[in-house]
Amino acid sequence: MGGGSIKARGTSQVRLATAAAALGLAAVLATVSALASSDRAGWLWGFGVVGVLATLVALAGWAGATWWGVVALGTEYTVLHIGGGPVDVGAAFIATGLLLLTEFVMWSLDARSPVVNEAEVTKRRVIRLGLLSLGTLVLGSSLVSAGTLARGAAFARTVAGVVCSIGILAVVTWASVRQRSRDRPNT
Amino acid sequence: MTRHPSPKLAGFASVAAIFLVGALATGRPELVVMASPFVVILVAGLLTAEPPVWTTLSVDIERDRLVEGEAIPLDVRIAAETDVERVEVVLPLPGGISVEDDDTALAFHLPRGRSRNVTLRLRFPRWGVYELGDLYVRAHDRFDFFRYDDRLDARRPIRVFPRTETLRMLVRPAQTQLSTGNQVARRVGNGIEFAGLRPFVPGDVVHSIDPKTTARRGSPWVREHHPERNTDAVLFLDTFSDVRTGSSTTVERAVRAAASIVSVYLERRDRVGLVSFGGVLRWLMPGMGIRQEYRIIEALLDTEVAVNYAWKGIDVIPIRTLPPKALVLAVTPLLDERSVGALFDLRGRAFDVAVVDVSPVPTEPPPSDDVVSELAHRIWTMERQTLHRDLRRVGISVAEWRDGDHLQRAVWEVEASRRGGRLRYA
Repeated sequence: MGGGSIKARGTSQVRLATAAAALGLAAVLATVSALASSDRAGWLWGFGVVGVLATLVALAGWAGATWWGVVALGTEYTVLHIGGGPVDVGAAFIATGLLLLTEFVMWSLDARSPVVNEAEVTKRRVIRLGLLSLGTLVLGSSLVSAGTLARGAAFARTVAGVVCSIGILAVVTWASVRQRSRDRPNT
Repeated sequence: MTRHPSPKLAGFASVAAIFLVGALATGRPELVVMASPFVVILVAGLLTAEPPVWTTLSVDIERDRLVEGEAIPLDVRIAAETDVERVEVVLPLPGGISVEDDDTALAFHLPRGRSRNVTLRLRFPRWGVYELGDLYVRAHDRFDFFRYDDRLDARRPIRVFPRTETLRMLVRPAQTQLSTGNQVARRVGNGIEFAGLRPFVPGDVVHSIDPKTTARRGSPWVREHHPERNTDAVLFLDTFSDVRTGSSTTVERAVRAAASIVSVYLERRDRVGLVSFGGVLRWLMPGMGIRQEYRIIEALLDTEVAVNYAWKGIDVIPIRTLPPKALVLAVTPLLDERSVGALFDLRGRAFDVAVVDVSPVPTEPPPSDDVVSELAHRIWTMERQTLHRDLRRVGISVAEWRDGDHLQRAVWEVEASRRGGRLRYA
C-alpha cells in the first residue's frame, strides 16, 4: 500500500537493501582499520571479523548482536591508535559509519515485520539518516578539533572530560525522569 | 496505552557507556568521538519522546452480514494532538479472511492535528461466522527509543451467508399436507388444476357442472380439480465427513446446496426443517416463512465436522423433526456408513427420501501412469455406483452432484428418476 498514488517499496527489497548496506559498511570499517597497520594485524583482523560476524548475526534476527558488532569495530579502530599520536581525524568518519551501521541494521530488522511502510515514512527515515550522519560528522570533527587545540593541557582535558561525563549522566537521568512523568493514561 | 522501550534505547546507552569507559581506560579521545553521536541522539531521544495523544481512534465496519465472496471495507480512523513519527496499524485476521491488498499492517506518518483513514477491504471467500480480533496501534517516537501500544476493540461477529444457486425446479414431495400452498395435490378438491370429469351426484355444487360434457352425454357431469397444498421437506445434512474436491470441500458445497434448496422451498410456502446429522446432531422443526429461512441459514453457518466414532442411527433424531408425509432430502457425500444407514432406515420407515450426492470424487482422474491410484479410483467409483443402485432399489432417488456442476442438474436428475424418467434435464 503506498501513500496516495505512490507505490511503497516492497518490504523484502528494503530489508535486503538495508542489510546489504549494513554488511558492506561493516566490512569497509573492518578492512580500513585492519589495512592501516601491519604491527597489530592479528588483533585488528580479529576485531574486524568479530564486528562483521556480529553484524551478520544481527541481520539474521538477533538484534542484540548489533551492539557487539559496533563495539568490536570501534575497538578495532581504537586498537589501531593505542600508543599513537594525537587524535585521528578519521574518528569522525568511523563514528558516522558506526551510527549508520546501527541504523541500517535496525531498519533491516524493522523491515522483517509484515508492516508495510508508506513511501512517506521511508522518505522521512532516509532524510533523518542523512541529517544524523551530517550531524555526527560535524560533531565528530568539532570534537577532533577541540582535542587537537587542547593538546598539552592534560589536566584541563581531564577536568573537562569528568565534567562532561557528569553532565551527560545528569542529562540522561533528568530526561529519564521527565519521560516517566510524561507517561500518562491516554484514550 | 502501554509504553515499551525499544532495544535501540538500551543499545545506544550501552555503546555510549562502553566507548566512554574505554576512552577513560585507554586515554584515547577517538572513543569519545565515536561515543558522541550515540550520547547526543540518546539525550535528544529522551528529551523529545512523548506519548501520542489520540483524539480519534476508531474502527468501523460497513456491515456484519454479507454473502460469501463479497468484500467489505473496514475503516480505521486515527488522529492525534501530537506529531507521531510512525504509526503502525495492525489487524490480525482469523483464518479464512483475506485482505484485497494483502496488507493487514500499515505504517504511516501522522502529523499533528491531522486525521487519517485507513481502509482495509476484507474478503470472505467462505460462508461461516467470523470473529474479527482486536486492532493494534503502535506509535514510534522520532528516534524510535520508545513504542506506545494501544489496542482497539474491533471484535464483532461477521456472518457470511452461503452463496445460493438459482433453482427453477425442486424435488417435489410425493404427498402434500393440508395447508394451502403451491404444490398440486394428488387428491381432488377445490383448486385450479383440472383433475377430471364424473357424473353429477346429489350434494355437488351446481356451478361445477361442465356444460359441454353435460350436453354431449345428456345427463349432468361435473368437473373435478386438484387443490394446491403445501408440503413438508426436511433437509438431511450429512456432516460426518468432509472431503476437499477442487476449490471447496463437500461440507461447504452441501451447505451452499442446502441454503439454495431451503430458500426456494420456503418461497413456495412449504414447511422446511433441518437435520444436521454428524458428530453433533442439530435439528430445526419444520416451519415456514422468512424467519424460518434465517433460522436455517444461521444453523447452517455453524455447520462443522465434529469427529465422532459413536454409532448413530435415526433413533437419535427427535420424532417431531420428521413429520409424516414429509420429503427427506439428503445432501450427503455418502461417505460415512452411519449416514448411509440412516437413509436406509428412514426409507424403511416409509419416509419419502431423495439424495443429492455431493460427490467427493475428484474432477481430475488420477494420472494414467500411476496404476495403483487409477485402480483404487476405479474400485472406489464402482463401489459408489453400487451404493447408488442399492439406494434406488429401495426407492431412494439419488443423483450425483460433482464439483463445478450446477446444482439444478442434480436436482433435476433426482426429480426425473422419481417421476419415472419422464422429466428431462435441459
